Amino acid sequence: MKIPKTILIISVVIWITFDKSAIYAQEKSNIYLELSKPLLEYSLFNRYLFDAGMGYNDKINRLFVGASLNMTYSKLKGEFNTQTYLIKPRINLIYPINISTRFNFEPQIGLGYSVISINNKKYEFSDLQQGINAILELKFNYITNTRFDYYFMINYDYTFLNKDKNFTQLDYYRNIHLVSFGIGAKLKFYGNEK
Amino acid sequence: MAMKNKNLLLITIMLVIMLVPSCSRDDLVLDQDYVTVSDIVHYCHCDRLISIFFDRDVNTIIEQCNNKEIKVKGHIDYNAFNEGFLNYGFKLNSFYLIDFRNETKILVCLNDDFLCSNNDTLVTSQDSAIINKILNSNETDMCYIKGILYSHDESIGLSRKILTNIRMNNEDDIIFKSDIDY
Repeated sequence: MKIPKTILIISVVIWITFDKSAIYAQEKSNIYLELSKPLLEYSLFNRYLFDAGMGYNDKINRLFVGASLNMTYSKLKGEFNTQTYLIKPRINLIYPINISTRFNFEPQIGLGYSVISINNKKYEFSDLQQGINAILELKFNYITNTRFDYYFMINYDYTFLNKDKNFTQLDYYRNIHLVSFGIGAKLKFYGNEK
Repeated sequence: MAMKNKNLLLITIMLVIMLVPSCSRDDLVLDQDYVTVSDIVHYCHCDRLISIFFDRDVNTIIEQCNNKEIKVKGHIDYNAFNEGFLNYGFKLNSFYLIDFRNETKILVCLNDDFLCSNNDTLVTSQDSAIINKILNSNETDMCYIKGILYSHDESIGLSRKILTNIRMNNEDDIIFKSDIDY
């Protein structure tokens, strides 16, 4: 029973990937997966390793409106081994600008909330911090003839943590600034019109 | 269209540059609640970790910390402590207090003269109740210290840096608690 199920799943994925019947139709929505590496970081916890995210966008007039969930991970390399996870659900607004049939770019703004989990096994320590989160992003899309588009992106991600005197007494450390560069893939869904 | 796109890109880059933080102008009350090591180091150095040869604010930054009473919390860097203790023949004149969340450290001197690197000021655990207290504490305990800050600029190689230490010499000014209150 397992083998036919696997074949069915693979067939559906292949069909979705290489189905070119919809290339002349208008994109109505999309889901995407992305991975990025913070290049610049200003925060209490340095050494962010990567950010992984997924999201869904729906076209309303000329804009795409969507929701996303990102997770940023940091780990200190030394003996102290503190791990930090930032979980960031967001609402996004995207305005696609077409450069050619092959390329377009998408400026995006997003607003959401960050929950930060800090853990250190050696000191038996765990803590949760939270605050508002905003993002400015620019995606450079490579448009293919299939249902998948691929993109490079650069973004500026900002979190402002709620006040917690035990965590920090400086406003400086309540701010988390990240500038990241990454790649992603987008699966498009089309409307009925052809 | 191309011009419009270029403008949009320029605005985005400008926004990123504007939003990247400059030096904090936070006010920090040093002797009221126990502050973290990270807060102290940032407040007293203001991220002047590279050369400060051409920095006009150096004296102002040093003055806001130098000779000020401080209450600070963190963890003893036991690896450095034990290593120093063994290397100096079971004597010490300083230890590091650390914020393990980001590995920021500050040096705590066990004498009035801030002579942390002078071998003449090394003391044994029999002579120093502070060392004795540290030896009897647990590695996971949070350490609370009352002391005096010593902030100064110093030549390091071809550059100058702001350095900040804490001075303490009273065993009542160091306590340990098992709950980590970050």
